[in-house]
Amino acid sequence: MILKELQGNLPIVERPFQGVAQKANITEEELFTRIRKLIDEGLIRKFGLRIDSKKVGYASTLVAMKVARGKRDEIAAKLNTYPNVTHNYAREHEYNLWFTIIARSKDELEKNLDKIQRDGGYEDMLNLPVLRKFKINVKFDIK
Amino acid sequence: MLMKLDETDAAILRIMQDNVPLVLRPFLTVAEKLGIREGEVIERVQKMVDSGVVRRFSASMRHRKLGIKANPLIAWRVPREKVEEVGNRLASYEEVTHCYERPLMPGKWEYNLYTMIHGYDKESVEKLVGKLSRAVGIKDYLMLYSSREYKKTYKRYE
Repeated sequence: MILKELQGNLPIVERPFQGVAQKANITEEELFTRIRKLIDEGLIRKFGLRIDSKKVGYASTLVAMKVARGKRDEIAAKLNTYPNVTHNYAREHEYNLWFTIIARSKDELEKNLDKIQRDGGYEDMLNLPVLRKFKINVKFDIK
Repeated sequence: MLMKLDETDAAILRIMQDNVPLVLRPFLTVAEKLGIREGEVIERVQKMVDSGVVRRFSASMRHRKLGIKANPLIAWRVPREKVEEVGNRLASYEEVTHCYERPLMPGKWEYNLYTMIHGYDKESVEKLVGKLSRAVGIKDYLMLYSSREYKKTYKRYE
């Protein structure tokens, strides 16, 4: 229950945790103990203000790569050396490597993509930036 | 579209993006660090919420650790004139966490709408996707399961 509440949107007020604690019928101090435990156990990745990176000038895109099966791990490892590559997954498709990349500006993003193209080693690459956002809301229904 | 943040706004974001201080009055703690009033921090954060710079004040979970292990990216092939309607419709489902339009490359890549769905197992996820497909009338889609996570991090605001 606490996890579900914490994924919601806390109010920007002097005591933002008060409402959640009251709902859970515990004190705020008890709530902090539980949150620390969830952080230690790794269930909570981070807890704070979620920033819309685009609104502060960052540019990002999703790239789908077609890579020979035997080369996938090697190319993925190379991509992971770029700090701007934030997510990188093998997916079950002809385009088998999907990663996201983010940079401080459009220019910097282009430079990063150019560099990745020069690194090569892949068969094809699709650059798939967001054209329109219908939804972003990562909130999990906890069983 | 682009929001102008001053140094104080940026400092607040840097402190509060990863881990908010777990104290009764976290904005007071941040205010003391920056040498400003608590009320000013709250006002500034509220302004950033209003302008959309701050999307939420919340916890992010490691969903795999919660047993949510079926997380396909689904790419839908939607006729251009239906993207708006289908996008909004898919976004309305609670189980759909992300819904974006991305470009198609005619003759090479025909998928233009992307959703993320999270579930406990493939069976329930496939059932849900079947339901979504019928609801929006789009039969051509790819379910792109991740077979391996090479990297998952977040870019910090600096």
